[in-house]
Amino acid sequence: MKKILIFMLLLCVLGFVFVVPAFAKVLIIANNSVSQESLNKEDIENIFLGKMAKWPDNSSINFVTSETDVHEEFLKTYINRSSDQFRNYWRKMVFTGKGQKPKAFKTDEELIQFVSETSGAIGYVSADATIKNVKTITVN
Amino acid sequence: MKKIIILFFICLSLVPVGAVSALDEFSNVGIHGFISQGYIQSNEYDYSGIKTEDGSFEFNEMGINFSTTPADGLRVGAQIFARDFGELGNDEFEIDWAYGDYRVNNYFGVRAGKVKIALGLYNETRDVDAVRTSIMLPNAIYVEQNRDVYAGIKGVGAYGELPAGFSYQLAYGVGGVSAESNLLIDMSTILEDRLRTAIQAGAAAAYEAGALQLGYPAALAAAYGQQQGALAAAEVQVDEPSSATPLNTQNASLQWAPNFAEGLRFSGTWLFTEIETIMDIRTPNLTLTGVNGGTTVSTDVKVDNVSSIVGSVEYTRGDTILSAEYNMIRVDVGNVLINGNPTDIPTTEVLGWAVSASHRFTYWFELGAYYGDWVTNDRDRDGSELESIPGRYKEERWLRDACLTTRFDLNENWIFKLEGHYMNGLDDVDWGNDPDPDPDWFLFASKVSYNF
Repeated sequence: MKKILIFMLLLCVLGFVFVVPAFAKVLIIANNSVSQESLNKEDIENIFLGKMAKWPDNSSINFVTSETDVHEEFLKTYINRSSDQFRNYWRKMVFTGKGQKPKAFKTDEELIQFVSETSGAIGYVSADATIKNVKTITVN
Repeated sequence: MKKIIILFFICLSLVPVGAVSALDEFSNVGIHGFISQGYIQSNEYDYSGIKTEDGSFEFNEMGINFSTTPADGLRVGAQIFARDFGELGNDEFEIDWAYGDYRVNNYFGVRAGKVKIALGLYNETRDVDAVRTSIMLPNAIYVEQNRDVYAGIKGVGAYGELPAGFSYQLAYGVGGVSAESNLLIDMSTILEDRLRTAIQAGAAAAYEAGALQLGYPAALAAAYGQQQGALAAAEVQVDEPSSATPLNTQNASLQWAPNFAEGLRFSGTWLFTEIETIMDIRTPNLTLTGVNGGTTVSTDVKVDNVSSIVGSVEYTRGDTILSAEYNMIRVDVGNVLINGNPTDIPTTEVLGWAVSASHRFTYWFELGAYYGDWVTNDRDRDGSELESIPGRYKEERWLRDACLTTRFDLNENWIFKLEGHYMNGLDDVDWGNDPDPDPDWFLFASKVSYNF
């Protein structure tokens, strides 16, 4: 009985170590001007829903979205919405004048380039994208 | 002008969406729009000012907006909008919203111009077919005939996000209203009812006293008083408003999406407005020899207070959305000066509630249902007071609506919807010459819409 319990405990530990968290499939990147090194999930949701519009230094947040496969994964992991629900949310914002639809990029490279050139910008790319001239944001 | 704008919309719907998006990306000017065309038919009677018994295409809306960010934190934009809803709208274009928005920080932003009114969960987006499952929102909360009162405010506002998942919106200025608003038409009926009761009692007492002074026996004097009272009441008539002017309007909204319960949000919204109307009011001529016809006078009626409170809860889990809303409208006319005599009109409370559910099964198919219950005077829920007026029916006091609706997303821009309603009640229903109107009836609607 004791051996079985130890075996089960070991399995749990191994599972914890080797199961890749969903966060790891998506990288959150930001312009080098952004002072934040890390964000929590709630902050990311608020940013991409347009609720959080300023960084802690009160500079404007400029968030962008992706049209690659990582988009659905990002929404599921951080925003708790499907792509239909996210699109609908932004339709509501646009047709009430409360917000402008975020820019969307067809490739990781284009998105990284925009984020690297735009002050206050934040976006997301797939974990295996080549990152240059932007900072990676850690998710708490 | 109207034709040019409609043609412009048709052309826009033919332009590839990418072309509009490209403009958005390169010029920092966002251009978005929607257009929809519906068909509505009932199995009997006309509903909400639309010729539904014969079937009607007078059931469409369209809007186009422009917005840009000329400076850091500052956004300006405007949307023009037109709709045809039977007797309402008639495709006349209006400025739906147009304002400047400056976001000071995450907690505080200011807006100035014409802003949308936050009322319930869906009032701000009530004209945009693409953002919901059903074609028609529950009438118990979002009364189509009152849209003008609830559409927008010209003035200033503030908004922001607060800790713990709270957010708020405030607006102050001048609202909108039209003489066709259901709120005012209902008010004229209430006013007529109250006046008739008051004048009948007053005339009966006065003529009875006069007859007694002339030496008539008490029983005869009382009968004479009753007869003249009834004649006086029959002369009372309050026409629907010929004009309506909005005055001071205030709007507040508080939403809470608790961090500990993902997908749950609560909303409390409040609207206060004052309206000045002109109505033709006919009152009897009371002469020494008895009631002698009546005189119609155009009368200023100031509605001191129309306040609406809507409490809502919405829960989203995966592709399922559940919601419940409760709506209370108080209409306080106060004193109306009739022939120089101040006549007090009691406050009326209009109540409605609705529950709804929707689920998206696939990328292209969504199914939804809702039930709404609407009573036009809480003090007369069973309609008995209304039924005591000749020619009126108790079922006019309410409307209960059970709706089953389907939505088909043909692609990201084109949407097709079909829905059926089982109705009980006759509020906002025109039954023509039917001497015994059936309170149970059916309504069918379909709509195709395009947005970009």
